[in-house]
Amino acid sequence: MSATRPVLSIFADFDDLLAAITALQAKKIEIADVHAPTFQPELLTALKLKRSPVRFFTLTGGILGILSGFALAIYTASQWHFIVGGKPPVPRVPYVILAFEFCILFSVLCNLGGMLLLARLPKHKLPAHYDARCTEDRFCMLLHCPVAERQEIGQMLRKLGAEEVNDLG
Amino acid sequence: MNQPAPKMTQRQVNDTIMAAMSPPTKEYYAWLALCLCGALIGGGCWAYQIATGLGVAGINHPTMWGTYLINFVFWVGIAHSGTLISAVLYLFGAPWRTPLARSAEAMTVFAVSIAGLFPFIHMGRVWIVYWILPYPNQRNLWPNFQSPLLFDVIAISTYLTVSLLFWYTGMIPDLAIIRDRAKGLRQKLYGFFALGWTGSQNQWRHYSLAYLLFAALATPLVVSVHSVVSWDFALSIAPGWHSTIFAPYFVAGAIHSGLAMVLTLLIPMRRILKLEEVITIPILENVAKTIIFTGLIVAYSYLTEAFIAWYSGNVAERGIFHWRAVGHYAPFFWLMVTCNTIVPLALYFKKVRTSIVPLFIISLLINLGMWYERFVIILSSPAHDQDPYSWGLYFGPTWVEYGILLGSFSLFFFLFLLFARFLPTVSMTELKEELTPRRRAQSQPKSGGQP
Amino acid sequence: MTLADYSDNNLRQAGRPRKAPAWLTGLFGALVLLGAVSMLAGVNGSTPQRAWLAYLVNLVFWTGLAAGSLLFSVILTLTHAHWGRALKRLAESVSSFLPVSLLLLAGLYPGRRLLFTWIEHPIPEKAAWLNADFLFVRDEIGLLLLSLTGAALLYLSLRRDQRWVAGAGGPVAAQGDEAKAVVFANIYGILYFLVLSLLAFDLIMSLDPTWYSTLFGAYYLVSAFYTALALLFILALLAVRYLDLSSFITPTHFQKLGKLMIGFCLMTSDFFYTQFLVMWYGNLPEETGYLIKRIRFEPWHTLSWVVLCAGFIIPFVLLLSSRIKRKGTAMLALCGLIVVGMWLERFLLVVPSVWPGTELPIGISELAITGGFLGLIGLCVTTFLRFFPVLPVADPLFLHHLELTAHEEER
Repeated sequence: MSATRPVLSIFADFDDLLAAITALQAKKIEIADVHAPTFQPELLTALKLKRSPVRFFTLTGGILGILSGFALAIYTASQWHFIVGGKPPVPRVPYVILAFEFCILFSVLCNLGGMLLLARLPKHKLPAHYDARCTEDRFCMLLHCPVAERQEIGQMLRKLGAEEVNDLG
Repeated sequence: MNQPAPKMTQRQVNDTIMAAMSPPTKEYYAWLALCLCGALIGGGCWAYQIATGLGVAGINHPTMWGTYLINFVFWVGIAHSGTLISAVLYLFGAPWRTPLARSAEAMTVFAVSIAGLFPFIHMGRVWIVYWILPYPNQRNLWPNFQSPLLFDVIAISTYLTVSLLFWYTGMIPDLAIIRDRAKGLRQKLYGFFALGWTGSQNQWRHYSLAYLLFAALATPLVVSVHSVVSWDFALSIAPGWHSTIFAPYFVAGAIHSGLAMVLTLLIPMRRILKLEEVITIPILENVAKTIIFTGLIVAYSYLTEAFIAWYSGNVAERGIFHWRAVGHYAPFFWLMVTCNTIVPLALYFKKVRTSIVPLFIISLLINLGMWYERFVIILSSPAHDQDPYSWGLYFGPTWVEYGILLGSFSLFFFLFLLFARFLPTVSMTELKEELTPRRRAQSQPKSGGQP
Repeated sequence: MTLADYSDNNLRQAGRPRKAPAWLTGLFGALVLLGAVSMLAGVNGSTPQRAWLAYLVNLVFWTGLAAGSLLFSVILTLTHAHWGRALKRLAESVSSFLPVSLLLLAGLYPGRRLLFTWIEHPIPEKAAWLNADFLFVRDEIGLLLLSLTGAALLYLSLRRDQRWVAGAGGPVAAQGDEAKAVVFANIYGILYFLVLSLLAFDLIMSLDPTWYSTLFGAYYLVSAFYTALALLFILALLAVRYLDLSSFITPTHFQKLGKLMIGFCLMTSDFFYTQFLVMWYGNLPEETGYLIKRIRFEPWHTLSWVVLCAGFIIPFVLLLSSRIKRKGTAMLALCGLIVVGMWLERFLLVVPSVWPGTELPIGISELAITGGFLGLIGLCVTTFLRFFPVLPVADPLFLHHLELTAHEEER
């Protein structure tokens, strides 16, 4: 692998950022990450990132919840087979409520757990290249630029509207 | 109902919202102390009740449920509109939701926590409350999962967990903003809760879908939780309680009272925290319009219940509805009807729903009316059921109950004041998302800052 | 599509009224004729009760559907929503059936003795409410009020379109009209709740006069709206395919409509469950009879499961996926299943209360009567779209939405 250096560029305007990403992708420069203060679906499309698989965690949690809800209720009722209020000892009708609540609870927990797992959170240390302006109003793009093309890339980015283009470490 | 986003830059959004978290004034401390006192009074009354017994609460045969249940249902109801605003309106993409969502969610979390206290308060032997949980034991005893009271336990704990996690998850990017602006201990503390959020695309990708799913899951949960609470009554066979409409009726009523509480909280808050540019009058107007809708549903429920009570031909049903209107609790019944269904009609007039003072007064009246609606529903049926020999009245609330009522409201405002001080009351990130235009004209100059 | 594509000419062309092909009108006409003949034959035959039951089931089903369709348009008006405007006129076209249902309700009068047992055997405590003349009068008044309000809404919505189509130049700034529409939309919303509940209580609940359920009215009106959404989906699919409206009714519309459908599927199921749970749990004889007939005895037991699956379970599971909402044929089948399932649901609500037999009273004759109603509503829709623009061309929010969409695509 030819030597690459991490370069951080800061953009204020979103359209500029998108234009820069297109240009960099044309030159086959690796874009490591883009930090944004808000969620921008166009960025995901531009960076060719697929839809998050977190929904499968949620679905699994939901199914587990339904099964657990019914299982818990049926198991506990089967211990003594009491006939309460003239109803069958193991009635299905009220257990739907339990199954539903457990479904929601488990899907929520799995949803959150899945999100944390996939997003690699919590992070104990912020990355070295992190700039506090990312949560303010700037977009920070980290790319791995081959040493030879550094100057050229820097100029191109500045022309496209980058406020700063900094080398890191 | 599409409102233009406030004319601010992203930096200004951060500044405005975080300014509300600046070191507080003496007034703030005074209110905080007052609320803490109220909460302590409530705690003291509860301690006295535990020591002396439930008899001090004015509950007696035949009305075995009194203000504790009323407060329970009331607070769960308040919680619901918080989730409605933050989850349901998110799903509908209503733009006026954004400035309200964070405070509404906070309201939900605090209201559910307080509601969850009331089953404990209602217990004589609080120390054995854990018996209600399904844990394996030597005698192989298990709670009865057919009971609506058990549904309550599961539903309320689920709701508390989910709303807490939803609230927290929504705050993660905002906590990162605070972390980045703070120093020292503040930075470490907020940084811990921000989980190392950097706004990278990998994080946003999973976060945005997870948040959407949260909202999609919270919505049916809201409906189911208050349906479960309503089934505490509807699954009995007491006249006036046993009615199939209870579940949607309670849900609509909950949203009605919750929206009124949102107005009661946010109207002073926007003034005190100087958020008038963010929580604008058109947004409050939209809340008012939704209140009209929920008020109409509550009116429909009252009419249907009264009609079907007559239609059923059932002596006890007809009796209880007649008694509610003319019997011992009649003043409260008419107060409830007036405040919940007639007063909100004033909001049909634009002048009324765009002025702060009428909005505030109406919200207070609705809260009062909804509290008394639970009073009328919960107390009248046991007081006047099928057997005339067992008719009796509830002569509460006693001073203990008043104390605990005061304590619950004080605790709520105490928690809300703490929230307003330490956490962003408006979601900065979501507000900033609204500001960034989705489309930019090609002719805009490439250089230059954010609009 | 660029903004230029949404030019006046394009709108005028795309939004113009459409004449249905002759074979379609002929088909609907034939169905109506066949239905009328079957009805007459059934009524004068050996089991007139079957014919009247079929008539009643269809009456409550299609009336609810028509009222629910207009509710979609009303909701758009009240929430000032942009996205659904392209579908607004299609929804309104179905509601043109409401005045027809006024006549059809009157047509039920001759069969009342075979349907309402409380005419021959009046119940003293309820006689003030449950007497035939009062029932028909109040229901007709209710439907009349609903139709008049609907007509006012349609008038306001169509007037500006007609003006725009007839005149030259840009859309009429119709702010005054919009404000009036909001007033009528409010009135319609309130009437929808009250009148449809009344119809449910009178025409369905009273068939079993000792039974009652406070949620029944609300259940009827919510399920009517759910079915109306499914029908609207079908109409939108047909409009895209045959009326060449694909640039106006986009996949996003289908996604959003699909999400609305799943929401109301859940809501209807929830209302069903809440009624069922309360009655099952209370175990009161005056309430459980209704349930037991439908879940313990054949053929209703099987029919209940069919309804549950076709109307609720299958649609819910399938509508969870967002991919299916993009597949036209699959959605056509699914929405058709929902409509059929909900028709069977009305059948299940109505018929067991009256029909004493153990065989399902659905035969050729009843299907023909159903076809007759379908033909009637088809004629209403096609006649409506023949005279009025298929898109709300002069609706400022519709045009605003088009602008937004065009800008999105330009980026």
